[in-house]
Order: sequence, then C-alpha cells, then structure tokens
Amino acid sequence: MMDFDGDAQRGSRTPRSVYDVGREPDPLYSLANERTYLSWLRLAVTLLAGAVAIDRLFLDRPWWGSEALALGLVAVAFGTCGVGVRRWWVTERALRQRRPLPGFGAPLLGIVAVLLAGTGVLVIVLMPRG
Amino acid sequence: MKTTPGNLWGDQYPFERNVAQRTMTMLGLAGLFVVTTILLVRADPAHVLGVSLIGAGVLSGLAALSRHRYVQETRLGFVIVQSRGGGFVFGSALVFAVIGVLVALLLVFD
Repeated sequence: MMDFDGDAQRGSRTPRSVYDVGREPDPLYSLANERTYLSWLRLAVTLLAGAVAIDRLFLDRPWWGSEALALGLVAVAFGTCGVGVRRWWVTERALRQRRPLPGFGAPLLGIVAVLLAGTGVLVIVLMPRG
Repeated sequence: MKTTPGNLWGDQYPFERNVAQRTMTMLGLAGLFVVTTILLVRADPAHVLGVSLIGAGVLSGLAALSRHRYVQETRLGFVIVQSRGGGFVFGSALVFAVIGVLVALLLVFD
C-alpha cells in the first residue's frame, strides 16, 4: 500500500463520519470503492428499467402478477441502491482505518432478491394467459 | 513507499475508468428519467425531439466538463483526490431515489 506525505484537511469533505476518521488510503482503493458503488447503482437502474418494461408489456392486459412483479422490482432497486451506498460508506471507513473490509452478507441477500425477481419475470412471460 | 503529492501519477491510476463509469451510470439514469417522464406526461414526439436536442447539448457540455476534470486529476494527482468526497455517491443516490419515485408513480397511476 502506498502512503502519502500529506493528509486531507479535516472537515473539508463530506460525509465527515467517513473522512474525519483514520488516514488517507491509497487512492487506488478509494477509486475502486467508487467503481463498486457505481456498479451497484447501474444494477439498480437496470432493475428500474425492467420494472418500466414489464409495466409497458402488460399495459393492455394488466393483472396482479405483473403489477406485483414491477413494484417488487422497484423495491429491489431501492434496496440495491441502499446496499451500494452503505457498502461504499463502510468500505471507505475500513480503508481509512486500515481495518478488514465488510463481509458479503447484504449483497448476497440482494442477489437472491434479483434472482427471485428474474424467476418471476420468466414465470409471467411464459405462463399462458386466458 | 513515500511519495510527493502531485508527483506520483502514472498511467496505472484509473481516473479515466472512474470518469467513464460515472458517465455511463449517469447516462443510464438520464435515459430512464427521460423514458419515465415521456410515459408519465404522454409527451408529443416532436416536442420530445426538441427537448432531446437541448438535452444532447447539455450532455455534451457535461462530457466536456468530465473530461476536463479527468485531465486535471491526472495532472494534479493527490491534490485533486483529496477534494473527492462522498458528494457524488450521495448525490447520485438521491437522483436515483427521485427517478425511482417517478417510476413507482408510473406503475401505480398510469
């Protein structure tokens, strides 16, 4: 890990709960942490787009299953974005404090939710409707 | 390994990757926002085209700004990284929340 001669001025960056602890990590790790957050955000955007697509797909013949799935996708998307923000926050703090990085519990739950939503899409698309 | 601020950047620092991914994510959010808004207000396609042209101009400006920042980051190195806070993370999450509410409105009321 690379160390720096200087440290950022305390209180100059927000959120202070992240940047007022520990000392400056190697920027490579901070940048990688930001890219991981961006990946979570892109997954959330994709889920939202899926919700809009399902809504439009069943526009003429809406039924409870399609509406529940679309709203479920929106809920999972919000959860995904929340997981992304939280992991960025926890990881940045851990990097600054030279502590171990967080585990993968919450993201696993997110992945399970996405898999369930995907199964729901398959069921809805393949199920014959009268 | 000790280094001096402003004197340490080589090609290995992935600023461009971060800028590119930020831009891609913002484009996704913008696209979803536009589609949802068009569906919600049942916009006239001609009007949408006009607004799209204005939007393309704004996006080009933002892309130029983003590129300028990337060049600055590469040149200034550590100094500019010290100014990187969580503003982008929390700002983009807020934008996502707004668009998410719009999508929910579209699903429930349209």
